[in-house]
Amino acid sequence: MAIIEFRNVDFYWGKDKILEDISFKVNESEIFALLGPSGCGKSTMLRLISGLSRPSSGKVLIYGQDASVYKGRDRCVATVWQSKALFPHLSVRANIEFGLRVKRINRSDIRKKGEKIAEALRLENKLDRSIFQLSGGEQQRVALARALIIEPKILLLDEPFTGLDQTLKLQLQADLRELQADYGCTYILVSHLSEDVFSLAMRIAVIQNKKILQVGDPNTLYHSPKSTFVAKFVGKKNLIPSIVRNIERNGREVIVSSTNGRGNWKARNLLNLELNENDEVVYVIGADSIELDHSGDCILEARFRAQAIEGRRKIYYFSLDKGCEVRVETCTIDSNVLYQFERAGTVKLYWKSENAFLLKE
Amino acid sequence: MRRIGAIVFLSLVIVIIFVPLLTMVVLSFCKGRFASFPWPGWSLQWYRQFFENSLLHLSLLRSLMVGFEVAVISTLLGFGSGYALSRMPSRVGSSLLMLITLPAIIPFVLFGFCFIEFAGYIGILRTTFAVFVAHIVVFSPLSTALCYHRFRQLNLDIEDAARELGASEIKIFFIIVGGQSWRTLIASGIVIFVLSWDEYIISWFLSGFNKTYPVYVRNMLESTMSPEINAVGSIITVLSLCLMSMALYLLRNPEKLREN
Repeated sequence: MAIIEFRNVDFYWGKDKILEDISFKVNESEIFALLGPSGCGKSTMLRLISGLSRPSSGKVLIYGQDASVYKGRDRCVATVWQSKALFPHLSVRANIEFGLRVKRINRSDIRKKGEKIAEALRLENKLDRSIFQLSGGEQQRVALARALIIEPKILLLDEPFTGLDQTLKLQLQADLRELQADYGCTYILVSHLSEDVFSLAMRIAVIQNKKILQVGDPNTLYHSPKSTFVAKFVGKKNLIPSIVRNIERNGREVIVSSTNGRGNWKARNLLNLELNENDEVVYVIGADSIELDHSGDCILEARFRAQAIEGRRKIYYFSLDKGCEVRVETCTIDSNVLYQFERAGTVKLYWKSENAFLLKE
Repeated sequence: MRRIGAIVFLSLVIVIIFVPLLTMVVLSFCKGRFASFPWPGWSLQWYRQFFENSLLHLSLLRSLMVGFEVAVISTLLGFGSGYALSRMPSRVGSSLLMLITLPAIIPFVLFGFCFIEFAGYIGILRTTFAVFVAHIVVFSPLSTALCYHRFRQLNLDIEDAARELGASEIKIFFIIVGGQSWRTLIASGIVIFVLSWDEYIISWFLSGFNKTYPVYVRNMLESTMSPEINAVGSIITVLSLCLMSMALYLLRNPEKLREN
């Protein structure tokens, strides 16, 4: 059974529409992510789940029941806020224990629970400190401990990795995975960075302009995006505006030419688009599918712009006409060749047509 | 050059502000009734005279009581009203705040005169209670404004976090909002205390025979120019200065200070 379901939810803030016709389900013990650019309505969805806001129309269901019948505090939901929202005037211990202190629970039980969760998050030596004496990563762990102490069924994580360096981010991701195994609660994670959600989420909903564009597991979203936004935002694919020239194998393979006449290429019609000759389409090829070493049946000439190293990957940026950019990723460990190109020099890029597919705008 | 200019300018301002006050303090230790050349010598006689003046003590005690009560009640009123205004949409909140602060900006002479009518109508004219009520009317808006500005600085997510963790609205108000704003509340109380116990015009209209200390001192000045006034003035000035410094210290934004 789905633990949370959004059914045709609209949300207005005054006259502004924040969410439009949102529908999705989250299963029990799942790590579900809401991914989208800033201001697309992700955090509003968390407020609807926690009961801090109500939908303008449609329904939010928790365990199949209309959530509006539950008061916020009866929903078994806890949030780790983007701003952390720690109580600045309380000690680390008081922050962690807050959710139990406001209920009438035995004081020694509260202390025991607080110390147990602090130990799990390596905060046992910081309990009597002020939150201002903690580093950003430690503050984030206090926020996590404060949320988990009430043993929520659903944990909402609003941009939990913001402001953390790479090491702290990886550490927090490991903590989250471990705690999910221990407590078995459902995570709903919000982020504007696809790297953050890909490493943790089981399923992801991609949101743009108040709407959900696609829901799927990371693999599906990466390899089979259904829209140009998802292809660009999630898969960091190269999108080349093209025109259909020839349709083959009952529409399963298509020959296109780029609108600026840079070449004719073959692509798969993965989404079974209804295509006709001279239709405008977007040719999609992954940055990691393009080769620089003359292997592949598709060729494109582009101008070299810049290069950068991102960890194990080396990224090359090329430009086509009309401001269209092509990104090529190579692995610095697998490949012994580190290409050096002259700035603004023409370079031939190669790829296999089986790795490319088509989308419509 | 710019730095020297700034230092000279600031020194000038400080001299203008503090010379009259320092004159009063120096004269309060003068042996004679008036300062003259050569200097008549140092003495604590005016302070001794002040400590023996039981009528002045009574009026001072009355002022202290009124000031303390007005400070407590006005701060509580400001705490509640400031919170309510700060959680309204910004435009509505600031417009209502302007409306609420209206009594504080009406000239005290006019306010005192008008309040006589009202005090007479409810039967409290010429009592200390009338001064107490009038001071609450004119000084509580200041507390509302101070609290409003503090509450606008608070991160609303913190209240939502407490709400989600199961805290009732009362607990959120006192533990979360109050806990983050206690410095402002105490500072507001101190500022109102200093303003109220030192207030002359409204007290003159309303206090009748139960004179507060500024009214008593004014009456003293009408009959005699005793240097005892300098001793009283020096004590009050030092006390007010200490209290106001404490208030300003408390009004610093604690979160910003910690971030720095």
